[in-house]
Amino acid sequence: MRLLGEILEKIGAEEMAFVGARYVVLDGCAAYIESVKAVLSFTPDRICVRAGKGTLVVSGECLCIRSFADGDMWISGNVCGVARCSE
Amino acid sequence: MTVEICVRCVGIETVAGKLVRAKISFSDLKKTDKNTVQFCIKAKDEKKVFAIFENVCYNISRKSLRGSAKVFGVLQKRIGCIVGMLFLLACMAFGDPVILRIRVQGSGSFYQEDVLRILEENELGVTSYYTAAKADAAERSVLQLSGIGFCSVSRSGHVLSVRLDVTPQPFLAQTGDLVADRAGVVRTVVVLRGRACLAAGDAFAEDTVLIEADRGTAVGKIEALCTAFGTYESDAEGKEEFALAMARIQADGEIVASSVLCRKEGERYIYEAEISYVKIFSVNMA
Repeated sequence: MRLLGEILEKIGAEEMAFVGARYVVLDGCAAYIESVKAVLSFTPDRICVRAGKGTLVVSGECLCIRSFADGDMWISGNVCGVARCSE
Repeated sequence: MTVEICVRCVGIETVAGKLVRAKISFSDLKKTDKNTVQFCIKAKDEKKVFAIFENVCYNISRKSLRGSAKVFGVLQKRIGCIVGMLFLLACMAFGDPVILRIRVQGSGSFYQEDVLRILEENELGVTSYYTAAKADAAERSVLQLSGIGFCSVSRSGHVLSVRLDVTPQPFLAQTGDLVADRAGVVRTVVVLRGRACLAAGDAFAEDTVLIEADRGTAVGKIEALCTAFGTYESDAEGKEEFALAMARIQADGEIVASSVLCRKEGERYIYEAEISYVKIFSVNMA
């Protein structure tokens, strides 16, 4: 994802070997998560994924995994938010 | 190529997890009801997906094909129809030039048998395959026939049409004046070219110019009343017919009157027949 790459470059985190979850949320529309390793749960209003070394919970309504390829997941639907989870 | 898959099971939440763990790319993953999830995968991953959900707890089915896979699927189902269409197209593309009938037309159609032989020699017979090169060769051969001035070999559908016309013979005009070869009296005069030297009612002698040519050529005809004579000598009486026959030999026209005179000279009878007939003198005119 070029945008995330540019952000990391600006803050100088690129050289830090960032291993956390990287994601972008278009509020009410979609969420894009990189390095997804597993889907822990999946319901139309909550999707829980393990990305990087953390776990993310995508909440919203009518959620749908629009696509998954090479670890990148695009979740569409009425995305309300993405939160880190300690599960 | 994309395949749409439908999975029914109790623990539906684990479907996405299994796909991600297997690193299978998918799209449009959504729950359609409580125990059913639907998603699309690439056709090449189909076997892998079926292997993942081989467990009896899952009920997996291929719902439909998408994109080019759908097109291939439809084609596969209608293979007979496709083969039929391809056969039809092949017939239209390659079957049209096949000759099924030959038609010979034109003023030279009396050469039909020769034309058919020439066509066979040039591989343009019935059930042969038409090509322009063969038609050209056949045309050249047909034009070798005596008197043929035009030949065209063409194809319309499955019918090969051969049009051939004979060369018109040039009009050979008779030159010079119209001269009478015998004496007579003019009845009618028709002159299309030249000058009439006589009028109706005029008498003329042998070798008289009837129509004078204009710039070497005359066109016209003159109808004249001529007289032919016949003489017959015999020892017997009643031989008039012989004299008439002698006169008829010279009368090459429509006979309008005839008479025979008989006179006796010594022991012999002399019969003199006279026949009036209509003679048409013409030059370059029927």
